[in-house]
Amino acid sequence: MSSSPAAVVIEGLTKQFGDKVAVDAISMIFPQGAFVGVVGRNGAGKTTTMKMCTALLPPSAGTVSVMGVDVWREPVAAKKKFGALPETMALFDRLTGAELLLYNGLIRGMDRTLVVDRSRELTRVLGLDDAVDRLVVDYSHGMTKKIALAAALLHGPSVLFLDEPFEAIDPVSTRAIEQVLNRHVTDGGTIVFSSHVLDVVERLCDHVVVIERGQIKQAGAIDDVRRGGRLEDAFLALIGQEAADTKGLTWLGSS
Amino acid sequence: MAGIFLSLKVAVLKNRAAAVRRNPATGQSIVITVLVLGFFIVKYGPGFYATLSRSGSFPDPGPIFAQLSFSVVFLWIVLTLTYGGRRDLDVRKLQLLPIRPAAIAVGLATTLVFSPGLWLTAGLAVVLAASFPDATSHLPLLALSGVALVLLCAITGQLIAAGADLLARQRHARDLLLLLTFVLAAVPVVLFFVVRSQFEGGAAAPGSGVMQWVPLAWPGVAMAAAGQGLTGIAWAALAGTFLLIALGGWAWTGIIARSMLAQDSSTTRPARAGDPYDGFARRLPASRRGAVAALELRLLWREPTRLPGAIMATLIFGGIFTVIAAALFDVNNSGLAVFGVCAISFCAVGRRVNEIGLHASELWTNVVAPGRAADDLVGRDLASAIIDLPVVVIALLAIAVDRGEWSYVLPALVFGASAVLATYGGLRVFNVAFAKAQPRSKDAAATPQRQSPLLNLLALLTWIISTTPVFAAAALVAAFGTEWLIVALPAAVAYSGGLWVISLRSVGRWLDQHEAALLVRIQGG
Repeated sequence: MSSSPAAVVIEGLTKQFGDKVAVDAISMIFPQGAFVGVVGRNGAGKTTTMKMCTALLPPSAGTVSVMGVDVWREPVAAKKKFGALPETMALFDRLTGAELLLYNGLIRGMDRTLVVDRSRELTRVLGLDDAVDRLVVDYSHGMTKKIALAAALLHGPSVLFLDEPFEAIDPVSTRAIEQVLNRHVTDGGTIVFSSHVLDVVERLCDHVVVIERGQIKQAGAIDDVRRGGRLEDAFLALIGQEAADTKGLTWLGSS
Repeated sequence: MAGIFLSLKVAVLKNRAAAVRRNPATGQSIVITVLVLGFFIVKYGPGFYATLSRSGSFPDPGPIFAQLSFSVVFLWIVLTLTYGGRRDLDVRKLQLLPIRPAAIAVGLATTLVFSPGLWLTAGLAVVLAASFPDATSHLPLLALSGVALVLLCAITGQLIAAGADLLARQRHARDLLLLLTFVLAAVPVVLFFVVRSQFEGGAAAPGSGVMQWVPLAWPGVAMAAAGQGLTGIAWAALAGTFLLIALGGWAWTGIIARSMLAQDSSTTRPARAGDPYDGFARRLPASRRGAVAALELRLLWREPTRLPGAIMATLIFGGIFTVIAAALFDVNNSGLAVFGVCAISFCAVGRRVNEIGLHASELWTNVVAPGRAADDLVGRDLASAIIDLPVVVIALLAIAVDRGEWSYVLPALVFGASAVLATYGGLRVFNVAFAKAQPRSKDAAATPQRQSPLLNLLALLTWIISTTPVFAAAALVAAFGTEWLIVALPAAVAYSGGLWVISLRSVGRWLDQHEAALLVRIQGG
């Protein structure tokens, strides 16, 4: 993908559930400082790939290494290098925002004062400073995404894996998250995120990976993938999706 | 509308059967439950049938039929509260459809033809009606009384299920409901013993006639009167019963209408209001162990129904155990005090059973954080010890003050702490081996934390197996004298400490390699 040192190296990564191959021997290299968007339709294998990259789902075959450390052979060392925001985003939501961040920092072995200081900065930037003493269960969807992102960023990871970070959130929260992520990349960090929102991928990412039925359809610099057009058009052409035939729906709006 | 609901119910049942076929663990649980139930039915069923089939031959069957009717309807209330109401056809899912609540009620009522409880009640009504010597000559009224009993049970069950579901959307109401369920569950148990003694004596107990004035007993009053040819009383009781059924139907429809619009009470609430463990949580070490302990302490108080659920499990299983212990031992023996202190370790089982499955969705946080799973295990034990050890000490001191005897306090404390430690060691293995994911919900229905009875039974067995050596060491001293303390005390400490350390190392090491896969497996992913 690039001549920069590799941040994430995926080789022959495969996941099989019974007879179904969810991810089929994919291989990719993401350079340090890259902002990578992983796109694909529902069930294409994006979340499964993300989970295998973040030590949440053992692969059936293949390897993943983050900053040169194998995620499944040296999990403790690898986990220090990355932060994760899974799609389900289930959090211990009976904690307050501040308690949740403190919990996340302490279980990573961070110093309490450092966690408190970083939490304060992150919640300020993400616009959560008024909400840190409220239970997370009472947060809106956007606030929950932001506190989960803050938890993923707390230990200053080199690589961030984010599964659908922009799904179902308002433009204000989207902008706040975008700014934090851009700052992370500007400082030399790497971001790999999956999304259905192709406009956001197009706006933020310099690299894109298109996954279809567990296989990589195309990967590379975003300009190479979209070839001067819109990413959405290139994506639909790559996965072979034609426009839906609506001729028979003449009865819509008739009652 | 009834046809649509029936076909919907059939589809749901088919899907459930398919899910059981796909999940061997569920299938195994069902087979074990059927075997256990089958054993009890074969062993006690014929005797139970023989007893019931002579109900009508009582000299004055009115009071006994009233008690039976009340017990059966009350059982529907308690079982509905304990095991939840209808989950598959949730009226909230019908909110956007142009259907009146009354039509929904009729549709839901028709699906009760698939209710095993209703068929069991109908069978009971047939046995009771047939128990009168000249039942055939009063058949129409007896049949109508039986139908009234079945309908009253059905409408009561639906009313309680829908009402509890509506109430359970508010946290405090839900917690209170759980404790109320526990209290109410005692009523049918007490009634069972009361009614049984009357069957053995061959006559209704003095004063039991009062029960005939309680509305839930009216189907039984009607049946008894019909069986004796007292047509006027039978019709009056039946009129009352059908009025009750109509009122129940009206209330049920009202609750359905309200349920379709009511929202979960996930409004902003203070985080620390009344939280007794928050102070402890703030003072714990700033490490992974301390963080996990603080989390457990906070969640115990803040998660819906967690605390009442733990209290209920402790009281139900702990209560059974205490009764057995009291029956086996001399209550005045100081050995029993030691025994009782050790038995307090059971509190941990009620609170900690399935603690991994309970947080299966959220534990990814710990999996992606670098560190050892053993630290999480120690953290959970630390939180538990903050609750359990003071209880052991307070109970021991209370017993000592009550008996005015202090010589056994220190040894009993060591035995009690050993039992607690052994319980933690055993539970650790149990919670990994039998982890079962719990559904996540902001404000779930009546009893979201209810564990399967089989899981609770296995937890009880695990506790018995883990702590038996400690109890045996304490029993040795009680039986052969205090000079055995020099052997029994170190043995209890060595055993419990050894079990704790070995289980910590083996389970911790296993989780380091397999925790992610475990969480995926128990969530069915």
